[in-house]
Amino acid sequence: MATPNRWAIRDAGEATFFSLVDGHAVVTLPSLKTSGVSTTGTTVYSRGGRGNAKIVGFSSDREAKLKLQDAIFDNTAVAMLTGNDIVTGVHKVDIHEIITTTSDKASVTNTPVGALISVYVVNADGTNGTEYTLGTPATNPTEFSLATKELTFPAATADGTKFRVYYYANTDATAKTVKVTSDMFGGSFKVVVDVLVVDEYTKAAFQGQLIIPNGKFEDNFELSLAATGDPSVLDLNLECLKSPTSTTMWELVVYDDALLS
Amino acid sequence: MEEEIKLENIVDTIEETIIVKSTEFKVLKKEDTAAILNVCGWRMRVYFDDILTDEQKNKIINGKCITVEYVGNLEDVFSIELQRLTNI
Repeated sequence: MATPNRWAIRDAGEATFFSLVDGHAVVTLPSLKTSGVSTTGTTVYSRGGRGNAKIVGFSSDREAKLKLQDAIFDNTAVAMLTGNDIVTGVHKVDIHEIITTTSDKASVTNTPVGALISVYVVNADGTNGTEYTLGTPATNPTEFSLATKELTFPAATADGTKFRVYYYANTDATAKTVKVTSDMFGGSFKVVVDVLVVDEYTKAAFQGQLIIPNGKFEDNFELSLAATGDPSVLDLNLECLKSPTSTTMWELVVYDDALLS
Repeated sequence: MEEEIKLENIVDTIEETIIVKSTEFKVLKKEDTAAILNVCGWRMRVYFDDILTDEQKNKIINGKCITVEYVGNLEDVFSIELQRLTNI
């Protein structure tokens, strides 16, 4: 079927990132909420004559920006954004949990790594009360002892007393860590966004492919967390750079995928 | 023979004599009757003895180090017992 001359689009598409170094595909984001490219330039005008009207316009400063918004946080995408590789392996994380005593004892869920950070009795209103420290619970009323995961509190501690325990624990080996560092920034990639377009005349669907030969991640990005409203989204903003071998900032190819050779 | 056994018991008793050592610990939080110290990364309380004067207590400042007597081994934090603070 002939590729349409007029078409409609209502699709965020799927974005695929390719390495500029060796061309390999890095990641595909199939859960975009929005995508788009904005193109700008600057025009300066020669003015003159009676009324100082614009006479000649000089265009320059061509810029294009690709904006993607993903409903899902992809570790690889976040890593591209930060410029740091994902590290897979054991990581020490902060844990805090509330434990309840029975016969002066209570156990934390995980095996603490190193010293417990803090132990507080939990007040009736849920806030932290008196701090308990490591020591001799048999003789001191605000001390505890620890054996692996089990904390022993003074004998006078009533059953059902709640303590909030802060400590470190190790993740399993599959934990993935992405981080922002002061010395690494988002890289540059070729980006291809596959979208669906519909022919105005025949109402038939066609493929569209938005190609950014060289997209550089912007270094400003936000990670927003909120307890209300829509779920948080991953915003990926890229500046379209000029290739050293081409003037193309971006291009859109509309084609019939049934006619691919 | 009996005499020898008794002597061995005496030697054992001498070996178990508690050795009090002292070192500096950082004050993390000063309370009315005690101070929470950083002992090998753990938070442990040293209690003020009644003979400690207010002037001496005023010398205990968060973030500063104080010398505290203890028994046990610093390499095994669970063996440490901080002694009541009688002087500073």
